[in-house]
Amino acid sequence: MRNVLKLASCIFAISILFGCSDYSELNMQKLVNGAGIDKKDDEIYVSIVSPTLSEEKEREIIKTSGKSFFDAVRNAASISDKKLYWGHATVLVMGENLLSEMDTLLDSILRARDVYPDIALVVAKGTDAESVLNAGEGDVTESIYNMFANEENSKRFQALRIWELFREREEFGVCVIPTVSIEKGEIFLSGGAVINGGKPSGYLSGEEVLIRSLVTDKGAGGYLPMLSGEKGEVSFEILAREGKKKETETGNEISLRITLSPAEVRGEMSGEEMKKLGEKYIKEETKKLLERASRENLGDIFALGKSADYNNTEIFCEVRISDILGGEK
Amino acid sequence: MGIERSELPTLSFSGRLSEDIALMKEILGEDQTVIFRPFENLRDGNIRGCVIFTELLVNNIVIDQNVVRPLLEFSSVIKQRGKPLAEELAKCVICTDEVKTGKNPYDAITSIFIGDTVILLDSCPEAIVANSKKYSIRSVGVPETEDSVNGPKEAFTELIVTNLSLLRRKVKDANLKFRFFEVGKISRTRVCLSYIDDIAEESLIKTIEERLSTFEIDSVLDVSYISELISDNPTSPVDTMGVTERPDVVAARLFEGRCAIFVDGTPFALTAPYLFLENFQANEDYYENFWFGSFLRLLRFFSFFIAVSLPGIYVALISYHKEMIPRALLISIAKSRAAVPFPAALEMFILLLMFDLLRESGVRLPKAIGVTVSTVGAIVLGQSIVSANIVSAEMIIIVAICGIASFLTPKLEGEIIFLRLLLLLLSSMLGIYGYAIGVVMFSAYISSLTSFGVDFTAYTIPRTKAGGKDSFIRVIRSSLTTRPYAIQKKNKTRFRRK
Repeated sequence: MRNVLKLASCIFAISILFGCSDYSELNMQKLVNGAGIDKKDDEIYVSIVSPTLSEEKEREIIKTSGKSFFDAVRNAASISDKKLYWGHATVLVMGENLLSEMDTLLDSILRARDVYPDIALVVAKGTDAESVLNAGEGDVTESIYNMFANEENSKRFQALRIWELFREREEFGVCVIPTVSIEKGEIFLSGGAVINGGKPSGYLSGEEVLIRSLVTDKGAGGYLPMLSGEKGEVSFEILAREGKKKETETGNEISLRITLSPAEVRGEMSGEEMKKLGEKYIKEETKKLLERASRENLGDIFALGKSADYNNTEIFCEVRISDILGGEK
Repeated sequence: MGIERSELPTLSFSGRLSEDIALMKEILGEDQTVIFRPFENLRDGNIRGCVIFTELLVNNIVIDQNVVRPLLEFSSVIKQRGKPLAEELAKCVICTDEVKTGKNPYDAITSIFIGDTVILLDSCPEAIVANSKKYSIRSVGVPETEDSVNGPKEAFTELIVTNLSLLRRKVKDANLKFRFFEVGKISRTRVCLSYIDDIAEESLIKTIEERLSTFEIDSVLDVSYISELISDNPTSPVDTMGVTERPDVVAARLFEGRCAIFVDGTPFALTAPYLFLENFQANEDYYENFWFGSFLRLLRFFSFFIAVSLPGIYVALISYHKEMIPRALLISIAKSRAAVPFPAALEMFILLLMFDLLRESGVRLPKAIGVTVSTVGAIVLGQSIVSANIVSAEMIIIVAICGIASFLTPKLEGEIIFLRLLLLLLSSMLGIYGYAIGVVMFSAYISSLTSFGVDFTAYTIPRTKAGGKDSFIRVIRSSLTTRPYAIQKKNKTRFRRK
């Protein structure tokens, strides 16, 4: 009996001293799937996407504004019938004009309760975040999240979560945030916004993002566009790749070893011809991107090192053709 | 009754027939089921006596032909041998399989009430007690609480002799011992301690004997009386003595060096020492292919985890750690809980309580009505309670899964209910940390228990290769070469190739 009393006292004491600090009932909260943030006239506008619990409407968008993100979210409490729960927010769409003050914004976001740094960041290119969220009937944040999942193999458009952004900036000084655009009322992933030293330095196209991924070992695969040769055309799927970068006495070296599988072959092409086409394309595209990065001062997007000279970098590319989909070795 | 109970053991027969009959009648009082049948020997009118028995428990033919008739007809030559008449009659006249003499009227009356016949003789201060038992008993049936597809289909009955005979048929070795005790000041219940002499540890036998003699109780109506009185941890919610209704299980445990305790009037036997691991073992594990047997055993461990943990973990997740639930599932749960007025923890408590109510009512009611109650409870009540937004559908699913899982380990039924509620309470206060605290507390608690000196959690985390052969899994029989070391050490080998 004494032990039972001790146990009961322990449980009571625990409940009084430690319990219930972060307790919340699910039906008193509103789940947040994602949000869009824009800045207009020194005012931060936040559009919060929440799934509805009714069958008629898939989602609702709560629009709020304030002097800062935190202020805007706090103002949402007077609009929303329930407390917002950010634990399951997956995508945060940012307006282009917020890229220049991203550090302040992310700091404000991460200080909010229930917000975890695994929210994927997306930049609305050529439009604002609110328009992106309002494109279509469904939940756009979920669509974007699913697009990233669909691109999981190609690695052309990879989700960049907040913690990944910090890690990449720490490692390379440069990070690329995926961009989303609207065309004919439909949203699509259009490339990446380069952030160099906390400031926006330009945009990359989808192909450039893929080339960057090949060099920086970020991507595990992907598709190359249709390449034309003398005897026909071919497009490839990247099966495996290994990128090595090193500084040399004369400059830098990038060596790439890539295994390609012919995804579509038109005409009579030998494996050797395919290999040459693939090597030529990757080498040229890498060179072009190096030149562009140097010309437009995008920053060290290939993570070659602080003293990297992008104008004086040699590229070595070796392509192997896999016969998985019918090509020759 | 004119004679005090405390005086009864001190009484003795006087040797004067009329006085002894009067004494017996005084002790028995108004019990009209006891028959007093006076007799006088045909050949010697001086040999007179009285046959006393109860008509409830005897075989009348045995009394007529093997007791009364020989007493009427025996030759007076016996009397002339010069030895005590009671002894001579017991030896030469009474034709039953078991005959003895005694001087205490109270013992004689106890014998009458177990179905023996008592013969009082004039001029003789001893009574003869002859076996004439015949009980109305149910026949050996199939096990109800430990049913199995394979293996023997017989279960113990309420008669201790039948139970011992079932065991003896399985263990024909002379080392199988049965030692009887009489427990219960009023019920005077026969209790039998059984063990295999050259396997069971002497210290264990001695401990059980000592514990059986350390208490005085009015009555013993079930093995649970004994279990509560002699176990190491009588106040514990976790049972540290095994209970089974299967003779094959008792035999298997005796072969491992354990002891069994039978109580007259109970179709169950106790076994000791008992390990926590045994809650997850079933006789069928040893009758099935060892692969399948091992799978079943792992399934029981998993079901125990589900039965005790699921409500706590579910409440912890939806109240404290929503980020751990996949978004689609969380939205689905949120939809179903939108109109529920109660907090998740209270909702779970209500449902678990209702489930236990339904289960208990199903068990206590007659089978036909029990099935109806279960059906009504499961379908009508479940459907209605969700429609009325008192609980959410997910809660019903969780509780139903818990209920099904708890049926896989019926021996832990009570423990599961307690532990489930404890974990739910802690989880509802502290989230997953509370659950973890509860698990650690329970693990620490059961680790502190012993069963007749043996660690209760022995082999639960096997520390040796041999210990692991029959714990979470059951290896092939030819590999089970030694008996459990934690239970007995003197006769280790139980299998070897010739």
